[in-house]
Order: sequence, then C-alpha cells, then structure tokens
Amino acid sequence: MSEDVGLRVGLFRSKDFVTGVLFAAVGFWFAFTGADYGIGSARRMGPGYFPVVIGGALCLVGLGLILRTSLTRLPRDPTPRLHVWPLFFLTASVVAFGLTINRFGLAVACSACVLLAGAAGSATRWKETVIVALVMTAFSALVFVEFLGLPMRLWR
Amino acid sequence: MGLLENAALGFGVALTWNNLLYCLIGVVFGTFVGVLPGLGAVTAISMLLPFTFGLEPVGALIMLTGILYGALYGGSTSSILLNMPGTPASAVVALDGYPMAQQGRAGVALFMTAIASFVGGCTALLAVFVAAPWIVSFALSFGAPEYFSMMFLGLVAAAAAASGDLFRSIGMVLLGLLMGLIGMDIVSGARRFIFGMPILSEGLSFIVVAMAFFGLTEVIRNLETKNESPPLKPNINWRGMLPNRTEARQSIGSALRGSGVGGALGALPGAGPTISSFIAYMVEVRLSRNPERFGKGAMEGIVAPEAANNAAAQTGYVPTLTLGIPGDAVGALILGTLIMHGIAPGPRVISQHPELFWGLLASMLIANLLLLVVNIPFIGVWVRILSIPYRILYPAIMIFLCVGVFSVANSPFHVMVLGGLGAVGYLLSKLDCPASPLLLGLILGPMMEENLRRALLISRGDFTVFLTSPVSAVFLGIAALVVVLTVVSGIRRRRQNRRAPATAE
Repeated sequence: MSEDVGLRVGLFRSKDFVTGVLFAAVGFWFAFTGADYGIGSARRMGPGYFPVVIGGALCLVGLGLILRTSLTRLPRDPTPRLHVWPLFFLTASVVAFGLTINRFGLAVACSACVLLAGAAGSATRWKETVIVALVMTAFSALVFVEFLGLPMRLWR
Repeated sequence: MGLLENAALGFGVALTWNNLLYCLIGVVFGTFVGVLPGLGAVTAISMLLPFTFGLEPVGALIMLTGILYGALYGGSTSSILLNMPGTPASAVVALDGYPMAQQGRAGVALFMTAIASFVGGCTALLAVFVAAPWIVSFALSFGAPEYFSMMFLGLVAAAAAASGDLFRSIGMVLLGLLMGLIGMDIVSGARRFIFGMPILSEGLSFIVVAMAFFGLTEVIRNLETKNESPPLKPNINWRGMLPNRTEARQSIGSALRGSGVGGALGALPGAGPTISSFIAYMVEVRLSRNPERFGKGAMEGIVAPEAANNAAAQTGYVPTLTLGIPGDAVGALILGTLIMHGIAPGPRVISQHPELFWGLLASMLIANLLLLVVNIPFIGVWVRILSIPYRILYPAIMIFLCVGVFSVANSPFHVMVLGGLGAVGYLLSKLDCPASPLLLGLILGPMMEENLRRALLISRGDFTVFLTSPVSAVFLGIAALVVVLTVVSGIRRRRQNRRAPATAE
C-alpha cells in the first residue's frame, strides 16, 4: 500500500538525493584539497587537519542523506524548480554594481543595479523603476557619500 | 564591583547624547526594515551594519542593539497585519495576531506587542545584570578543551534548533565551518581554499555571507511568486489601541511568564528567540482554561511570545559577550562586529571593557523605552510603509545590499562575492537547507580550529582531554543528549506522518 506511494518521484530527482550529492561533493572537495596543505598529527596539526576532518564529516552527512532517501518507503519530495529569471537578473544587478562602482562611479552603478533588478520582477512597471533608480542614486549620494563619508565617487 | 556600581557605570555610558542618538537611530531604522515583509532581524542588522563602521565600538554595539530591538518589533507588526512574518520568531505572533487584525483589532494587538516587548526586555535585563558576572567568574577557569566543547555544543544546539531536517542543519553547520576556513591559517600562515585569488586570504567576510544568505536570497525567493499581496488598510486610531480591562488583566501574567521562558531559554547557546517564543506560546495554551480560543485571536497568544522573544534577545547577549559563543545568527553578527572592532569576546570583556559591557546592557533598557516611545505614536506610519508595493521596495533593498557590502572593505570584489553567494544561498534555500547554522559555523570555525589545536597540543595529541575535563565532558554530554532527543522526536514525527495518509485512505 504505502510502498507504491514511495515511487512517485524517482530517487535521482528527489530533494534529499540532490542535497546529499551536493553536500558529499563539497565535503569531498574540501577534504581532498585540504589534505594537500599538510595534515600533520593530532599533536601538531597542520593546516590541512581541520579541513579534512570537517570536509569528511560533511561528505558523510551527504552520504547519509543519500542513504536515507534510498532506503525510505515514504514518498519523496521532488527537487523544486529553480526560478532562473529572478535569480539571473538579481545576481546580474549585484555584479553590475560591482563592475561599475570603481570605473564609472555611484550614479552609474546605482542606476544599473536598480534597472537590472527591475527586470527580475514580473510586476515591475518601468516608469516607477526609473524613478526608484533616480531616487536611490540621489539618496546614496546624499547619505552614503555626503553624510557617512563612504569613499565612493558619484562620477568618474 | 557591586550591582549598583555596574548599573551606574552602564547608564553613565548609555545616557550620553551621542549614544542616545545612536540608539534612537538604530531603533527607528531597525523598525523600518523589520516592518518590511520578508526582512527579519538578521537582514536588518547586516544591511545596516555599514552605518556603524565609523562609530567607536560602544556606539556601534548600542546602535546594533537598537536595530535588533526595532527589527524584532517591526517583524511582529508585519506578522500581525499581513500574516507575513519577517523572522521565524515572529511567526508565532502571527498565529493569534493576524486573526486579531482580521477582526479589526490590529491596533490593540500592535499596542500590546509593544508593551509586551518592553516587559520582556526589562525582566530579562535584570536577570542579565545579576547573572553575567557569575557566568564570567565560571568561564574564567575555561581552557582550550572547555572552549572547544562549548562551541561544539553551541553548534549542535543551533543545528537542532533550526527547523526541519537534522541532516541538513548539521550539513549547513559543517559547510559554514568550512567556509570559515577560507583564507590565511593563523598558525602556519598557509593560505587555504582561496581559489587562486590572493584577496581571499583575508577570509570570507561574515557580513557578505549574511547579506547574501539573508538578504539577496530572500529577495530572489520573494520574486518567485507573481502576485503581489494586496495592501491592507487597517483602521488604527488611539481609542482602538487600548485593551479592555479583562484583556489587560489576562496579559500581565502572560507577559511575565513569557519573559521568564524567553529569559531562561535565550541564554542557552543555540536556543535563541525562535524556540523561546514557540515554547512561551505552548505554555500559554497549556495553562489556559479555554485553549480553544488560541489561533483565533487570543491576547495571551501574542503577548507571551512577544515578551519571550525580546527577553531571549536580551539574555542571548550573555553567551555572546561573556563566552564568545553566539546563540543564533543575530548573536553571530554581534560577535563578528566585536571582533571587527578589535575586541576579543570572552570572559575578559567585562574586566577589560567594563564601559562597553555595562553600557550595552543599560542601552538595552533605553532601547526598550525608545521602542515604546517611538512605536506607539508611529504605529500608523509603520502600517503605511507596509502598503508600499514590493516592486518598488526590492530595487531599493538591492542598493542597500550592494553599498553595504562594498563599504565593508571598499572593494568591488566583495560585491561580486555577494552576487555569487546569493545564488548559492538561493539554491540551498530551495533544497530546504537553513542558513542560520551556516552563519554560526562560519563565525565559530576559526575559533574552533584554534581551540582544538591548542587543546591537543597541550594534551600531546590525546583526545581524551575533552572527557577528562569535567566541564568539557558535561558540555559534550549535553550535546549528545540534544542530538538523541532531536533524532527521537524526528523519528516520532515521521511515524506520525506515515500513519496519517494511511488513515486517510
């Protein structure tokens, strides 16, 4: 009865499996890279000792997750779909700020950041977003540069 | 030093004009960010942290405390009005607060949460004034093994306290510890995990990680859904805010019980405000003569968790400041700020920086008072902020995140890291991995490694040192107990879930 329910989502597409693989891979990478730094002994630990232990532990936790979801008879949660659109544009908006701040100054960086962020949302009304860009640039210039004295130039 | 002298010293520091101003600014901005739906105390603190960079350590901490209190209170406001809790801690307040708002009693709910916060904060403060020196005298005898075991317990408790799957939260603690190792190794000077980028040898800034995982990730998640929540127009006026006599009488006991629960649990590493507000709520349900009222707008249901929430936030500072072990993500941020200002947290903070410690405690009381003064007249303003549509808010939030991260080291590189980590945080949050344990691990990682090394160096590589020291053994024993209890309750819940669909068929 309940055995059949468990097969609704395949093992490889289950959330636990994906998480487990991710943990195991990251843990393995840290442990493997860490081993190169020199493990030393418990008495005189090298820079690699702690990373190998913790990385190994993370790897085990990942394997544990994989094992648990492989053995379970309960229905597995599917891996959720990533919403690539907001993910891409919001990351892009941050990166754009980083790329432009030193080269072109705060005004360009703020505008680029707000406009790209605006592209991320589905409810965006562009007229509003342009106003937000202008207001936020003015606000940043006033508060961050003038008032707080953060070392940023408005123009460059 | 006597209690009164300490208090006098503290208020002497806290009552200077500058510090009062910092406190006020913190409370106002904290409430502002906390009110915004989906942004909690951790986000508020990390977003506003750059504003405190220019201040001296005491002023910076006082402002952060103000931000924390404001954000906690603001979080309850959005829970009550929109049923959109900014923090897990204020999710409990939504259980009864939102029904109250639907019944047109939003004003009285907001008024009572403000009062309950105040009561919780004041009660806990008294406890802290008395308990802190005692904890310090105990902690002064700690050596490396004790510190290591205590941090171990803190991390285990944080993993157990994070809602959901123990596997995932332990994994996130470990991931945080590993991320904390990025950079220069203090002992050998070796650069680890820097991916060929020399700039990473300073390590990954906790502020960048916090803003990525609690700020950027949240914004991405909020943009997943297409529909905007309809703005609510609650009717709030002065008369509607005052509770009637029975409500007032019911609330006194609840507020005090909530303060007790929160104050006691908040001091435990890893417990923090979330758990304590849940437990305070459960206590009220158990004690109530007619528990069926809960979930439908019971006054006790908002007063007790809100008092507990604030009390726990207050006593949570004790392990953070005196032991250097933060109880939750907020504590981790406070700890990071201390370290950034060159103050090593630990039992010596009180003797070396008495003005900082007692001044901070005193300023908590003042923050509570300001919260009351600022919030009750301005509840209407906060409510109006809630009606700003998210499509206008989030680009502004993005600017705050970018400028904030940039100003950590005036480096565009950190901003790029924010973008990358935000994407990672989004992926992890889609996989139900909680972010708080990661942040705690990140900050404790280097300290844990250092103490492990020192402990084993002294014991000549003998691992039994962690069990032969009684204090350390007790910490490890409690950690084991926490794991066992969490696993057992998890298995029981799974069994119940399994039975539930079977009976439904």
